[in-house]
Amino acid sequence: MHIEHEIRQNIDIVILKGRIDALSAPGVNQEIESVLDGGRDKMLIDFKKLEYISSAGLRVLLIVAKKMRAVQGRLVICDLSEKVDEIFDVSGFKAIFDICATQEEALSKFV
Amino acid sequence: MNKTLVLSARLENLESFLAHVRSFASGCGVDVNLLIPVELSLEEVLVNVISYAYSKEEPGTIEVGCSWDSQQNLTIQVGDCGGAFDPLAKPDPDTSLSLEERCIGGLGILLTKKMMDQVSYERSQGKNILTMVKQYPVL
Repeated sequence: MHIEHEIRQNIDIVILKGRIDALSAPGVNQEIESVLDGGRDKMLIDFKKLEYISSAGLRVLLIVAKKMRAVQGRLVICDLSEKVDEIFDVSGFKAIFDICATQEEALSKFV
Repeated sequence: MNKTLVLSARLENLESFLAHVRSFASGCGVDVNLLIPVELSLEEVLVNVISYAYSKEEPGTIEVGCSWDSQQNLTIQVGDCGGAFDPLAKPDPDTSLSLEERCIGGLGILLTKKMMDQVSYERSQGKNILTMVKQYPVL
C-alpha cells in the first residue's frame, strides 16, 4: 500500500507513503482516481511519509491537479521533504501546485 | 572498480537494477541517503528503454554498469540494443506553462539532466549507451 486515505472536515486527506515509482504509480493513480470519481472536490495530499517520487508519480499528481481544476475543486499538498522539493522545483511544479509546509496549514486553506 | 548487471528489459527488473547501483555505491562509501538523484535518473532512463527500445513480443536486454573513480565520480552506463535513439536530443518540456497548458509526461529526461552532473549519449557497435555521472563529496 502506498496510500492512506481519511476524510476530515469533509476534506479527503491522502497520505502518500514509501516509494512512488514507475511500478507503484499506476496503483496510486487508481486509488486517487477512485476517490475523485466519487465526486469529491477537496483534497489534501500529504507527502510526510513519501521517501521517493519519480516522473511516473509526478505524472499522477498532474493528472489529479487537472481533474480537480476541471471540477473547480481544491487541491493542496503539504510536507515536502528537501529532496522532493528539489524535484518539484526542477519540474516547475512549485508554480502550479498549492504547497504548504504542514498539514495544519494545508487544512486551513479549505476554510 | 566496475560492475555490470544485464537483465531483460522489463519493468519488474527495475528494482533489481536500482538495487545493483545502490549496493555498488554503498560499497564505494557513498551514503545511500544521497543516492536519490541517481536512483531517480536511472529509473527515468530505464523506463524509457523498457517502454521504447524493444517490441513487446521480444524484449531485449539492458545492461547497467557502475564505476567509481579517484575523483569520487559515480558513473552509471545504461546500454540497450534497440534502434538508435538519443533521449537527450528531444527538447525539454516547458516547465513554465500553466496547469492547463502542461502536458502529462515528458519530465523524466529533464529530471535526469538536472539531477546528474553529466549526461551523455553515444551509439556504439549497435548499442545505445547513456552515461550519467554524479560526483560525491569526499567522505
